[in-house]
Amino acid sequence: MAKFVIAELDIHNSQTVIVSPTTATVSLDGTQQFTKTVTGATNTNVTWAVNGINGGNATVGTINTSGLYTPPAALPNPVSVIVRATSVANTTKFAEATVNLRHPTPTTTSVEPTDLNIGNVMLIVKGTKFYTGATILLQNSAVSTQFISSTELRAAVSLPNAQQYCVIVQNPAPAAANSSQRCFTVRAAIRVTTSPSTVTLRGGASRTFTASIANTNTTAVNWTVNGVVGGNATVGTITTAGNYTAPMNIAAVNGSVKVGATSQKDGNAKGESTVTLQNPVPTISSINPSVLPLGNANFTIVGNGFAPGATVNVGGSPMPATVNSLTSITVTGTTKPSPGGIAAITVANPAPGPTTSTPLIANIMPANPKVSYTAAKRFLEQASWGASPTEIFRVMQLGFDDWLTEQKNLADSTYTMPTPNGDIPVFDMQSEFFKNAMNARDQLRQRVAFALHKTFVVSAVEIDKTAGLVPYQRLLLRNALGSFRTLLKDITLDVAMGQYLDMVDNDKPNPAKGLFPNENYAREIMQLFTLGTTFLRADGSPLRDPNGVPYPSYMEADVLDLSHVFTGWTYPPGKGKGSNNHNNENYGMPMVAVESNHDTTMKKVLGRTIPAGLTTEQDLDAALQIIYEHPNVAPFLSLRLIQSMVTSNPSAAYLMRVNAAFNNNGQGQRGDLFAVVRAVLLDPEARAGDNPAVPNPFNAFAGHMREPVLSFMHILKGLEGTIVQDNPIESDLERMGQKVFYPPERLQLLLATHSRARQPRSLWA
Amino acid sequence: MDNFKPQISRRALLRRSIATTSLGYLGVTDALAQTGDYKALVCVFLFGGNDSNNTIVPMGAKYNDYSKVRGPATGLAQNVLLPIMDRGEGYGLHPQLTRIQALYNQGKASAVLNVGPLIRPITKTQYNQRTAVPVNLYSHSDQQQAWQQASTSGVRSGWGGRTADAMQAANTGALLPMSVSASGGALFTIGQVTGPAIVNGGLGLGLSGSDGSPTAMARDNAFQQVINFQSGLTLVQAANRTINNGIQVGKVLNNVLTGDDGIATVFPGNGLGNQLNQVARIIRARQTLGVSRQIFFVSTGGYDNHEGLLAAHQGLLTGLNASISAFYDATIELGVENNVTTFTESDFNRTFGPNSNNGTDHAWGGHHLVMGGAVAGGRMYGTFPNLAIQGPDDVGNRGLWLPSTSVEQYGATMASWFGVNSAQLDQVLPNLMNFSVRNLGFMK
Repeated sequence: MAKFVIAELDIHNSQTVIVSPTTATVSLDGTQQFTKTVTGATNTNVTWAVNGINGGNATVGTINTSGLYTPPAALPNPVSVIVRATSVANTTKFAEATVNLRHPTPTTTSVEPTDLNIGNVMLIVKGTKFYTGATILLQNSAVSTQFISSTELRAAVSLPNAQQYCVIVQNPAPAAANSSQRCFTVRAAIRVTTSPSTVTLRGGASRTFTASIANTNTTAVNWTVNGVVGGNATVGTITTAGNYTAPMNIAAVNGSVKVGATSQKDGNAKGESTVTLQNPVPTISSINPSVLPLGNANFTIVGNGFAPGATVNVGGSPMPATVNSLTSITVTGTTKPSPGGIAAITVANPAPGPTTSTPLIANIMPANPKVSYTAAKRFLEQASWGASPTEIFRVMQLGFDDWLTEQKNLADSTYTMPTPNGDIPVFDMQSEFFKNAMNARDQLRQRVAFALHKTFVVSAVEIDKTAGLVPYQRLLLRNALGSFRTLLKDITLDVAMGQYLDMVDNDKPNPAKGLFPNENYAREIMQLFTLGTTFLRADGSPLRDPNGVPYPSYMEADVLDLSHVFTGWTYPPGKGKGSNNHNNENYGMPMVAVESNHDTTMKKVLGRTIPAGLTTEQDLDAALQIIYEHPNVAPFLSLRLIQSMVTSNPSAAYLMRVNAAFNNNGQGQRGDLFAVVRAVLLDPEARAGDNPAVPNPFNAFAGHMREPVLSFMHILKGLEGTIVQDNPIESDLERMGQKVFYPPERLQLLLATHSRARQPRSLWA
Repeated sequence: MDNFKPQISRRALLRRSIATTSLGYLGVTDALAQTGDYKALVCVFLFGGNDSNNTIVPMGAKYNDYSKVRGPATGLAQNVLLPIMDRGEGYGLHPQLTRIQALYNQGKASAVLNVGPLIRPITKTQYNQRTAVPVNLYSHSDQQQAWQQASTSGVRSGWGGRTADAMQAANTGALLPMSVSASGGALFTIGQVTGPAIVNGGLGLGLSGSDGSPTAMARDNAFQQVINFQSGLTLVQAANRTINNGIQVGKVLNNVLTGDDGIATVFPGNGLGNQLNQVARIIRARQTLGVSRQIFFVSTGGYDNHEGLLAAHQGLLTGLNASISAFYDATIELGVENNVTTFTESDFNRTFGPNSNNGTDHAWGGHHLVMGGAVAGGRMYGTFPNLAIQGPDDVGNRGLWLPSTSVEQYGATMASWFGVNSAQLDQVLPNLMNFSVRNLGFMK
C-alpha cells in the first residue's frame, strides 16, 4: 500500500523541503534516485534516511547523500520504507517519500535435465533472480519448489505425457512479474531393441548384436547374458560392443540364452535377443598315436568342441568312442583297410545342431609292413583286378611272395554252368565275370586266366553258347596257375575251342573227295598259342638269316601234318549214348576220339617224327609235347603274360628271366605257370616303380597300356565299388571297345608284337 | 621319319575351326573345291581271308577245273553264277554280287586277279627254295599287315598313309587329316609322317556325353587336364596324344557334320554299311573340310570260313554287295562317282581244296574288286591262276595260288590315279621297283 507523504510547511518559517518523487515502487534489483528541493534556506543540504535511519541500512535499503536509494537484498518487513530528506539548515524541516519494494522479475536460462522421458523427474530450473519462496509453474501450475539459490530451483515433478512442457518461475509477492516461459520436450519411455532378435549359434561361435535405442539421446547400453553384464564362462561372454561368444559346452544352458542390452540411462529400458545354442563344430587337431594300427586300435583324438555323446567315424565306419572332455575323445575298436592306406577320421556331435568335424587324415598301417602301401597297390594292379584296400593291406602284411602263395591256394572262382536243357545268356556270364573280379578272392588266378584268354581265344562272337563258354573259362581258371602242358591239352580238347578253331569233327583226309583235314587249329595252336610265326631268340627277338629275314618257326608242311594229327575228335556223347562217327553238339566234357576218323599215318612236326599207327590221343599227346618243347614257347608266352600283367614294352633281359622260370621252375620242372607268373611279377623290372621317387632304370618305355576292362576294374576296385545285378559295366566296356568274352574273331585282342604307341603319328603334319 | 608338330598342328586346327565360321575362309575352300580336283580312295578290308575262289569262278570249259575240286559241298553251281566277260573268257561272280555284276557290265567295276604280297616276282621253284618269299604267309595278323603295308614286313606304316604323306600338299589348310579310318587304327592309314583321323561307323562322333552342357563342359575340362598332364612317361604321353587327336577330330567333324541332312541313299544297317555311310558324309563335307584328296579305310569281318564255307560266304557277300553298291550310289548322289575309287583287300585267299569241315583254309593270292567311275571296268586285270592242285600256280598241295600280281602293283595303279608321281611312288611302295609293270591299267 502506497503512502503519500506530504512535506509539512513550517508556517512560521518559510523554509521548505520537497522530495521527489514522493512514492516509488522499486524492485530489489533496482535503485531509485530521489531529488530534494530545499527552499527558504541558504543551506539546501539534506540528510537522507530510510525508516529514520540516516543513510539506511542493509535491512531497509541504503541511500546515499545524493538521494540514490538502493534496496536491501531481501524484502524488509513491512515491504514499504520511508525515505526522508531532512534539511541540514533546519532539522525540523524534512520531506518523505514512500518506497514500495518488491521482488524483481526472474529469468530462466535452462531446464535440466535436457533429455527427458515420461515419468518422475527432478526438474532443475536455472536462471537468475530467484528468491526464496520462488515457485516453478509447470504448465502454469505451481509445483512444490525447492529453492536452491538465486540461480537454481528444483522441483520433483511427474511428466506423464510425451509432449512439450513449459515452466515459468514466479518470485514470491510482491514481485515484479513472472519469468517468461521456458519449454522442453518430454519423450515417451526409452525403448531398447536388440538385433538380431533370435539367432542360432554353435558353441564357441561368435555373433555381434546391435542395440537400437529410441526416445533418448543417451544411447549407451550395458550388454548382458542371462542378465549378467558381460556374461560369464557358463552362459557365454559378451563385449561392450555386443560381440557374443557362445560357450563351448552348451549343456549347462539348457538350449538357449538371452543376450540383453540395457539402457544405461534407464535400467528398465531393456532389449533382449534369444540365442539358441547348438553343439559346436568339433575340430580335430591331432590323434595320438599319429599312425593308426590296422586291426585293434586304441587312440585319442585331441581337438575341441567335443560334445557329450559325440561319435567317431574312421574310414567310413563308426568306431566306439568315449568323450572325455570338450577336447579329448578316446577311441577303442578295430580299424579296417582303407583306400590309400589313409582314413578320414571325423567326430560328429549330436543334436542340437548335429555336425561333423572336418576330417583328419590319418595313416593306417599294418604292424611291421613288408612292403609299402604304394608298392602293394602297384603290385596288385599287375597281379589282380585292382588294388582294393583290403588286398593292399593283405599284401603289406604278407609281402609279395607269400601273397602269391596264398593266392595260388585259394579256390577257383567259378561260373554258373547252364543246365543241359537251357542255355543262359552270355550277359549273365559277363555279370559273373565282373562279380568275380570284384568279389572273389582268387584275384591272381582270375587275372592270369584273363591273360591266357587273350592268347587262347574262344570268342563269343562265334561261340555264343554259355554251355560252351562256361567250361572254357573254368578250364582257364583251373589251369591258370598250373601246368602249361596240361593247359595246352585241355584247351585243345575243349569243345568250344574245337568249334572255334574247327578241330571238332575234323576228319582224316578223303582223297576220293579231295578233302584235306582242317588246318585251322593246327596253324593257330602254333601261330597264336605257342610259337608265333618267327623263330625267337631267348630274348624274344626274331632269329634272322644272313639277309635279315626271320626264320619261320614252322613251315606249311608242319601245319599240314599237324592238321592230320588233329583228326578224329568229335563232341562228347550225350548222356547214356555211345560215340558215333560225329556226335551231336554237346558240351560239358572234353571232345572224344573216334579212331576211325583219325589219320594214323606218320607225321613230321617241327622236325620231329610222330610214328604211324598211334591212337588219336597218342598222336595228339605226341604233337602237343613237340610243340610244348619248342624253345619259342617260353618267350612267346612270357611276353604275353608280361604285357598283359606288367608292362607293354619289357626289356629283353626281363623277358629272358621269365623265360628261365618257364623252362625251369626251380625244381627242374618246365611249364609251371605259377612259377612263370611269379617271375613276371617279382622281377626287378616289374618292381621298379614301386618307389615312385626312383625312376625305372630298365626301360625308357616303361608303363602299361591298360585295356578297358583292366582300367575299369582298377578304378572300381580302388574305389571299393560294388557290383549289382544287371550292371551297366558290360555295355560301358563295349563302348570302350572291349566287350568281355567277345574278342574280335580269331584274333588276339592285341597283337603281342604290336608296337604300343610309343610315338604315334601327328595327325596334322 | 616322324615329323612331330603336334602343338603347331593343334593351334592351326583351332584357327581353322574358328575360321570355318567366316565367309572368307569358306570362300577359299569353295574356290579350291570348284577346281573339281577331288579324289578319294576307299579301302574295304575283308578280315579273315576272303575265299576269292568262290568270288570269281571260271565258267564254260574251265568250270570243270573248279568243280572237280570244289564239289557241291564247297563249290557254286554254274547256273547260279552271275556271268561276266573278260577278254573273251566267261567268268561268274558269286550269285550275291548282283550289283557288282551290273557295275562291271557298265564298265564301272573291275577285278584284279590273283593279287598277293610279294617282295618281287618269284616262281614256284623259287618259293620252294624259299627265295624272296614274304614272311609269315598264311598268318591272319601278318598278312593283314602285309596287305596294308605293301612293303617289307616290319615297316610301321601303310601304303594308304604313305600315299597321304606324298600328297599332303594337295590338302594344305585342311581341317581333317587326309587319311580317315572308320575301322580303328588301321595300319593302312598310318603314314610315316601323317596319321589318320579315326571315326566310328555310327553317326555320333566325339566323346560320349560331351553335349556342351555345363556339366559336360566341366567333365571335358577335367578330362583335358588329365590328358594334358605332363607325366614325363613316353608311353603315357603318347597315349594321351592319341586321345587328344581323337577329341580334336571329333570336334572338327561334329562341327562340320552336325545338322547335315545325311545321305539320301539308304545304306544297309550292318557294320560296313554304317562305316561307308560315315565315309559318304565326310565326302559330302569335303569342301568345308578343305580336302581335295582323301583316303578311307573301312572293314568287315567273318571271312575266315574254315567250316561251312558256302552258307557263311553267301551271307557275307550279300552284305558286301549291298554295302559297297549303296556307297557307289551315294557317290552318284554326291556327284563324285568318277572321283571315288573303292577297292577290296583281304588277309589272303583260301585254299582251293576244301577241308573235311566243308570249309577252306589259309592260302595266298586272290582276286580283288575295284569299283568307281574312274575304273576302266568291264574287264579284269592280271592272270587267272591255273586251278590245278599241285599245278604250276599251287605252292602247296591244296591250291595255294602264287600271286601273279603284287599288292604293290595293285596299290601303285590306284596311287598313280590318285596323283602320286612316279618318283614318289617308289617312296610309297618301296618294292615296286622290283616289278616291271608299274601300272596295271585298271584306272582311267
